[in-house]
Order: sequence, then C-alpha cells, then structure tokens
Amino acid sequence: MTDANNQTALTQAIEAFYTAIKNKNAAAFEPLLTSDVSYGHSSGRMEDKAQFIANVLDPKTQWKSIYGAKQINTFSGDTAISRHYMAGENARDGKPGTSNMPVMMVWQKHGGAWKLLARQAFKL
Amino acid sequence: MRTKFLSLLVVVLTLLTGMQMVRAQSGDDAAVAQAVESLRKAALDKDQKQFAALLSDQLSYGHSAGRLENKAVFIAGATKPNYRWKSIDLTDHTNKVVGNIAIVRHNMAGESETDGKSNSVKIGVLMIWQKEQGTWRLLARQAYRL
Repeated sequence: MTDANNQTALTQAIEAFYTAIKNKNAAAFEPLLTSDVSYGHSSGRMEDKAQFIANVLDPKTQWKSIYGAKQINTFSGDTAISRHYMAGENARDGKPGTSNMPVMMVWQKHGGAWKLLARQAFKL
Repeated sequence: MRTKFLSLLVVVLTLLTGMQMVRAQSGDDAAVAQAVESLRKAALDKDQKQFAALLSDQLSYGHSAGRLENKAVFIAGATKPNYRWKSIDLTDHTNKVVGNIAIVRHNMAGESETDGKSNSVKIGVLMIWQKEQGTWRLLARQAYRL
C-alpha cells in the first residue's frame, strides 16, 4: 500500500472511530480497536478496551460533533502515528462544552485494516 | 502403538513450541525494559551515540506542554551544554509487546538544570517502541501532566 493509500485508509478509520463515539455505537468499535488497546485520558486515567467502550456508552456525556482536527499522520511499516486535536461540541451532565484536546494515537495494520493500539491525550 | 507414539510426539512438539513462544515474549519484554533503561541513562549521560542507537529515524517525541521534536531536534536539545538531568526516576512501569510494537507506560519524576537553575518535573509518559531489524527503537513518545 502506498503512503497516499495509507493516509486515506487511516483518515477514514479515525473518522469512523469518532463517529462511533458520537453515536455511542459499541459494535462499530469492534473493527477499529485492537484487543490490547491502551487508552489514556489527559487526566492520566487509563482504560483498556472494555473500560473505554463502557465509558463511551455512558449517557452522561453526549457529543453533538466530534472529529480529528489538524491531523498529522506518519507511517512506519504497519504502524501509524496520528497527532491531531480531538475537536467538537459536547454536553456533560447537560452542561455544554467544547473540546480541542491534543492527542497522540498509534494505529496498527491488521490484515489490511488499521486498528487503534494506543492513545494519549494531554492538556496544553 | 505407533499412533500413540505419534500423538505423544505431537503433544511434546506443541508444548515445546508454546514454551518457545513464551520465551520469545518474555525476551522481548526484557529487551524493551532494557531499552527504556538505556534511554534513561543516555539522558543522564547526554550520550549522543546511545540516543542515535535507541531512537527510530522516524521518532515523534512530544513534551507534556505540546512541543514536538523529531530525532535530530530531540538529540540537539538533550545534549545542550547548558542543560542536564540531575536525576530521572521511572515508576509504575508497564510494557506490553504486540507484534513488533511495544506499548510502554510509566511515570517520570526528575530534576533538571538549565543554566544552573533547577527544575523538577513529574509527568506521565506513553512510549511506543518498534523492533527494527531485531533492535527496539523509540518510535513515538507523549508526556502529559499529572
């Protein structure tokens, strides 16, 4: 696969990932997460796959929009590093807020499909 | 008798293969832990040669405040004459090897000195190491404030 093809495929995987968060769609995460995923919040809280999905499904946070802004994706064999901002509008316990959180994601190609292996958000 | 012998042989071979895989896995875990320790020492010693060996050419190194460095910029910063680490302690270390990638997490507490002025840091760190031709090299790192 060329880098341009990888770029397209990874951008689509990231979009599908954020769409699954917005729609609270547990099934949609299945093809997008490795079973070993290590998901770190900016607060330092860590989640494995089951904890991450449970947290996404929690009704207390609702996303009106969410996407990966200003993506810089680089490739090293079957590994991709995506640096971007998790941007969007949400409501936590009904209180509206906006997100513009820098994150680093690591994606791994499994059988031609990109899957999330690790993620860390941080506060600027 | 022959069938019995063959099934026994299969069982023994399966066990041996399994043990081999376990050994390879723990070998990788130990090698990754060793690489992390070598990088900690290289930072303390400002060892340019060790940095060159331990860092992937495609390194993406993120500081907790958002500053991003590639391999050359990182090494230049880490070996600056007016700057040094007095101590670096890593705690709560975990690593998980997935194929040719290792996910490493730990907390780092340390004291650095710039132009004689001390500065202490306490941060969380995510590191991604990649096995490149048999050698583990740091591919990506992101720190975050605790």
